[in-house]
Amino acid sequence: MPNLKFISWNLKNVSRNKLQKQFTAGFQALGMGNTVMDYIVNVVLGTEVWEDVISPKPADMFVIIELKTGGRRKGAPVSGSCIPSLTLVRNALNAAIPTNGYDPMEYQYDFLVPLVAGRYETMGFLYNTRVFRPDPTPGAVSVVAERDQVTNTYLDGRTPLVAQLQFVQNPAVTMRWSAIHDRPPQGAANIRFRPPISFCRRLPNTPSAAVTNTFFLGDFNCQPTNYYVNGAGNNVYPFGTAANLFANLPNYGTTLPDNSLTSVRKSLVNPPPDPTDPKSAYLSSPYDNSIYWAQNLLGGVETEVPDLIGEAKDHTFNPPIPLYPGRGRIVLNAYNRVSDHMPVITEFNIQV
Amino acid sequence: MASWKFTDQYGTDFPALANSILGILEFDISGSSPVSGTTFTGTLDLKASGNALNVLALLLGMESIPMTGSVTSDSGELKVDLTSTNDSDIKAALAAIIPLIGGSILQAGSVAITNQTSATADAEDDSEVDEFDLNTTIQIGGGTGELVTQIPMSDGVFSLNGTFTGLGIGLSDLDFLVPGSQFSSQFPTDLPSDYYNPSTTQLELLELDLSLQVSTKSGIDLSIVEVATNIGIVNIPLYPNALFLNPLAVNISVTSPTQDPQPQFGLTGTIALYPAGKQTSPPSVDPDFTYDLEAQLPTGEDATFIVSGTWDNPENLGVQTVINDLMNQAYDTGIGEDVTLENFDFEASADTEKGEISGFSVEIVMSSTFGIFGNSGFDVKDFSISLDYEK
Repeated sequence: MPNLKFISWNLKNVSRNKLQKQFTAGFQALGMGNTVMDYIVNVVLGTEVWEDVISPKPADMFVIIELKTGGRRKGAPVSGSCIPSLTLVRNALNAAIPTNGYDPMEYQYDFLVPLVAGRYETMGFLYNTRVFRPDPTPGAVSVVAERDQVTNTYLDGRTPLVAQLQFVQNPAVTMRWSAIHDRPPQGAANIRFRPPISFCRRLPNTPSAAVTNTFFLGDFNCQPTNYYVNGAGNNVYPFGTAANLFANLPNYGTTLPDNSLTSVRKSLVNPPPDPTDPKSAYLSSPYDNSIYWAQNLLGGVETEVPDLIGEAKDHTFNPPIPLYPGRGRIVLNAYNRVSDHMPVITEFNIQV
Repeated sequence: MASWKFTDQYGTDFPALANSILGILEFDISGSSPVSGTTFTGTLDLKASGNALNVLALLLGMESIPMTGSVTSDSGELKVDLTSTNDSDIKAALAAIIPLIGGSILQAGSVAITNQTSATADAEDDSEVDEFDLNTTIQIGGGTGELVTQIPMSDGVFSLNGTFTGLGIGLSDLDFLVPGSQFSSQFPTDLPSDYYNPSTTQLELLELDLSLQVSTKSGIDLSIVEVATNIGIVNIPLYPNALFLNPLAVNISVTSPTQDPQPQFGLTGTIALYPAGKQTSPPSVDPDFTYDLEAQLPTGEDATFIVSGTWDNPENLGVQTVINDLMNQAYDTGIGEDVTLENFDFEASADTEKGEISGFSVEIVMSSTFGIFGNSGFDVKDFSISLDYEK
């Protein structure tokens, strides 16, 4: 009965060079990470730096959105800094497992070699080899750049990159992750969400939509309740209708609350634009999600966006003391070196 | 001796200083201030400076570091530039804790603090420059280079890295990086380029990264996570003296170099086109245009060789300039100066076992006012051509 944890995180054009970037010495002294890489490791492993913010359990699948690669042809092999970046992340995660008190026999990471998802961009899949494994059958494929099966074309922008792995415990049971980096909204207010929603409405046509134990996760640039008004004056939703938000993906759903903000602002806005949500001072839009269809779940699925800015703490004190709001600006500046999105974390128990 | 912090003396005039490393570091000083004129003399007290300095104290086995340097506060700007003065002790400590670069490799080690803070930055701002670095000088082959890291201030990963110019090496010069099996044995012997001959090609070390994991849970534990290098062949004349491949580089990452070395390779290169009338060999001015190449090398598991390229035209120079540079003289083609080549991207992949191209694509984007619609008020500013071939 594995207890599983998945993290998807848009790391904004991440490369090996970016992973090695440093913070200001003043921020680094606060103890949340020596480099961007180290900061990411602390989040993905749920180390004590994020005690009471992130569950103290390493992720079993870490999906990186917006990973740099050479190449622009969808489905082509990756090149350039892509593999060196994934190698560094894997090595850093594995090195940090024992030093953070976790058992290397329970957690050990490897990555799947991705394919190009869009212009100079792909997604990374780092998985816990103690839980998952690629299909060892000769010729078996673990990563696919998926097409819309109706039109036999890749999706606009970045096409979904899909990984499939077997459970080590029971190889007959598989799990899929369809990594999403949707097109950004643009245009007038009533049609602003047309680009990302048009993309989402093609996801039911991808092969993964029909497969159980699939997670669509990443940066959708919209949420299920967003809509645009089409030429006929009708409201068009990403996955269904106003009455049934997942009508087009009938087995799927999300437990992430509506309006969970994930896009990170460049600077603090005070007072917060949404008086009911103090986080709106540094977060702006609810764009990231984890939409799933899973069978044999034991209990519910918990999906959350950890607040890595409002909950950041100064670890030079024991116990650590909150940095927000007093030093919120330096925390936001440092976070902007990591990404312009918050991660999304999904946890559940499953019978395999 | 008295305890002193930069914020004690400068915190009121420079409130953002409290958010920098200088808001944390405590110095032992004699007298009321370590700053005399613009000269600083004091001793960094690692223990009194709190948790953040614990890693450095354990790494170096020191409780204090004597430092000197300059402090100026002119025109509403505080500038601090300090370096350690016990560098032989620091070098010995680093050689002991990172044996990979110990011995004859490590030539020097020091600690440096650099800060620049504006008086207009408020108490919620960062300093403009805020660095607290560990600097090392290493000798490789016949040359030396600097590896730098910001000092690790908590358990976790940090990187010692450096970029180099003109550091000629032989592959055996890097054998120290993979002690068990020797680095030179990790290097590919068969590159898809006529420019590389293992026995004769002159190589340069362009970049070296050591990723390290530090833990202070029980004393100090430092392990090397990964060694990565970028080794290049520089200034290959493709079309003397206008077009150079500079560099053609092989990047190699070796995971767990001290235990179970696992190498991975990539190939990068930049083709540079130099301005007409200023062309020399080797080049002596910045190029007008560059074209970056990236390639994946075939391995035993995957026989695909893929190469892709990206055009960079930072000054938005016209197509006419490209032609002038290639001809090394003004050459009137009749193409307007305002026609610029914004993108010229290509990608090709080949199956090296079957010996055939498996995919090819190219995209060309030009921009200008092309005048296609005459004076109608509409015009085409950009057009692009793209072609994809996929087998």
